[in-house]
Amino acid sequence: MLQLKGVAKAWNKGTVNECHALKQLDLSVDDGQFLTVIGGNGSGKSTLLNIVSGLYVPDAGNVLLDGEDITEMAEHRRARWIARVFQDPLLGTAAGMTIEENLALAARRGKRRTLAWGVRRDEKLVLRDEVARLGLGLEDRMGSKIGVLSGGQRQALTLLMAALERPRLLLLDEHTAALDPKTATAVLTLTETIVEDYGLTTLMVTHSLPDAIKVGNRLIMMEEGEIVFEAQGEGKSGLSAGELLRLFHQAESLSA
Amino acid sequence: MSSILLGAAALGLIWSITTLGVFMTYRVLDIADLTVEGSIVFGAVTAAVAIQAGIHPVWATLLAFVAGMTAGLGTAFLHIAMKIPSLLAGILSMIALYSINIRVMGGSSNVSLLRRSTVFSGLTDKMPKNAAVIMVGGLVVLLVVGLLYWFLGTEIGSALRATGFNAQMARAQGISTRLMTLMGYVLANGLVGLSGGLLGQYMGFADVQMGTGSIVIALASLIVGEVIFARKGGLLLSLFSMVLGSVVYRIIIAMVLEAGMPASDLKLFTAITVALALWLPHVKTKWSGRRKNNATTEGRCESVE
Amino acid sequence: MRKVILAILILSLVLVGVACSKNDKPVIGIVQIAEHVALDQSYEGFCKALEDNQMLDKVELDFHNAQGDMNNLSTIADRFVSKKVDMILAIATDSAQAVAGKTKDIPILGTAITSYTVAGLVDSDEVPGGNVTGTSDMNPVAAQVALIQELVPTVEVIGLIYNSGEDNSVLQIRMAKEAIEALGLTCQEITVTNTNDVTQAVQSIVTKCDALYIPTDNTLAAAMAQVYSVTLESKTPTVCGADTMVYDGGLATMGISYYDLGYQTGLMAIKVLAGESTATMPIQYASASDLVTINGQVAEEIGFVVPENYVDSVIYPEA
Repeated sequence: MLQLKGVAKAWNKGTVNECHALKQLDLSVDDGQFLTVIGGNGSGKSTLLNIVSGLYVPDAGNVLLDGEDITEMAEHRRARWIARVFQDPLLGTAAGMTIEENLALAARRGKRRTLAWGVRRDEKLVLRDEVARLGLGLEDRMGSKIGVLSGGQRQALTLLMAALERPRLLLLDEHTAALDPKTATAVLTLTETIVEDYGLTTLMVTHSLPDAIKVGNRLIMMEEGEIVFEAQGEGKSGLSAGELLRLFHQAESLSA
Repeated sequence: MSSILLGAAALGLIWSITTLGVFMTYRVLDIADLTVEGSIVFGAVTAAVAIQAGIHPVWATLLAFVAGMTAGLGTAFLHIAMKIPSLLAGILSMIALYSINIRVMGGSSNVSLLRRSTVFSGLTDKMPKNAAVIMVGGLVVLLVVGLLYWFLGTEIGSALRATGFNAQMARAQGISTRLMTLMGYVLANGLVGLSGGLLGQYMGFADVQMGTGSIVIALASLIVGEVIFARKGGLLLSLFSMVLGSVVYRIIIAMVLEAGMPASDLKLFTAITVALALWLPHVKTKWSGRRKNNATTEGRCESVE
Repeated sequence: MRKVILAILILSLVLVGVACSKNDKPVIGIVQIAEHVALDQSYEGFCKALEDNQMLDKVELDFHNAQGDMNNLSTIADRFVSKKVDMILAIATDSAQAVAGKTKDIPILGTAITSYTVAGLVDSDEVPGGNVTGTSDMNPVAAQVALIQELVPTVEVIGLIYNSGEDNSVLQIRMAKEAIEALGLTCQEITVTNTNDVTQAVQSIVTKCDALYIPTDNTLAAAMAQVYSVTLESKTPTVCGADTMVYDGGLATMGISYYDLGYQTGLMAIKVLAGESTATMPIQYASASDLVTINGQVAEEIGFVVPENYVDSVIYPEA
């Protein structure tokens, strides 16, 4: 489904501050995989995500989605197949528009927009049902402006919006990092439910070791722009946070 | 007396179309666009020259709309393609338009419409000029508000609004924010050009200096309108508040001049009024925050502007 | 805030009510586009004409300055119409256009306007045909160019500087070029768009000419100090279109004084108030056109020797 071949990205090349965010990265993600990516600051995990989403263009290498080369494709064009949830809960929704309008926007992701009415009457019921899935009671407030909701509620909606049109790839960029522990757990559980229900291929970047182990069926650890450790299935769920941390430090000292 | 109020209303209605244009860029797209000072004159000048060339006033006015759109296109190009910051892009356009406007007028700085027929001519024989302008102007305003309200509710319009609220999110939803910004610039300045075309026909002349201070007038009208309606209610109410704000602003100016304030003090007066209007909502929140009881309803955590 | 706006509206209405008191004297509404020496002088001359004819205390004057804002012009015009003034004095083209657009009945006297026909104010200079008439500030350009040759007999190239965005100036420059050609001389020209460009433009043109001619251009008139400082260094004789410009640093002029023109307008106004029709009153041009003014201080500083016959025309503006 998703392939990265020899992807490299460096910042401030040729200066004292030169930093190689990604070095010759190769990665293959199959359909239906739920991949968690962990690593310290500067490991390149966010850069990886941003290259897949189209925010950055790599210096070298290719990004292929189902065989199609999308390396240079603009962000909004890729959005046809790739959906994204940001770390900042405020970034995923438009504060001044209503829940209904936001969802209607998401429902049109990847489709050509015309002068047809923004939220069709028949659509309203469908959207309402989708919001009800979240179990947060938001379906009774479809006309409320997003701005009055809490961060957790907005993130939940962003998640729903991302999954609504069954994207080929779902990108989660430390999406629980800015939430309080209770809300973070709720959103994470929701993530698992939605991914399973919709059967989405997912890439989740996180800095929480327990989360990375618990969620998903594959894990990679990044350090200084390279993948240094990988675990799948049993090998993954059997890991403990302590072990992972040890491996983490090992990788750090190896590359130091 | 009535002539003064009618005159203010007439002028206010014509200017409200500019205010609606500025609403599009400033409020919907969150861009400060100074092209206005140039595009309003461009519209006035285009209509005037067209009428002098014998073109029917209605077509001339539509040409003014097109002229405004072209000006917006220019700024959009500077900002989107050449990546010049929006404030500077607007200023550059405004400066360039000064020269362009004089060229359109064939080297003059003033084109007279006093002896020509205008869009208002059909009615001016039957009623005082200001009343005629209010009728025609009012009709155009209703049309513009109606069309804007419909447009902003369409899929494309929603995409445009989303771009203004959160460009990152819009892109993640597959919206080309560059295209939306371009559309916003073009539509907004088209409205400003239309307003200019009507303004020139109302005043009886198009002058290259007509646009000076227009962004301030538009912003002042916008803010007066928002303060009166306290920003509650939906989009339709917001649009109407722009119109009302423009008319009220003109009436206040007329009243203040009438009461004897020297015209030289008007700019200070406008500045103080706008500053007060911008400050008052904060004072209001502070006040009502203390008096309200502290019980919060479930789910209402942060309130983000 | 709603209440504050409402309060302002009510207060203003009350003040207006007080201001609008009944009056038996005929009212003359005066509208001036902006502050400017020439425009101010027009008004002074106008008032003097009324005074000299014992009319000043028989009329009420309602003066307004629009401070350069066209929207204010519109509001002021509305006021005059609403008050049903008996006559309007419109100083400068935009002022006249604004009031002419609002009323076809109230007689309008214009001054400090160069071409009434181009401005769309009258059908023709001889028979205006409507409610507008007045005086034109068209300066005797040809005579002024001839003055250059008279004062500087060795002149070969005359420099021209003006704001290409000002109608009046473009017209005058065209006339100047015709006159220069007729005298068998050549010219060089340079334009500016606002007062910021003036210094550099003058510095450039003085290197290419023997003498400088500046028409009655609002931008140049406002920037005469800059012209003066450059021509002082280059010792270039500068002939201007109006005497106010000579007072501000030009060397010499021949022709109109805005004060006299205003006075002329005042005389026309008295006739209109007495019942004469504006439709048949032709546009008047400056009558005293052999008025030479020479700035004595400038003459000394640039080493210019004042000819015998103009010794009486020398003035020394107060510092």
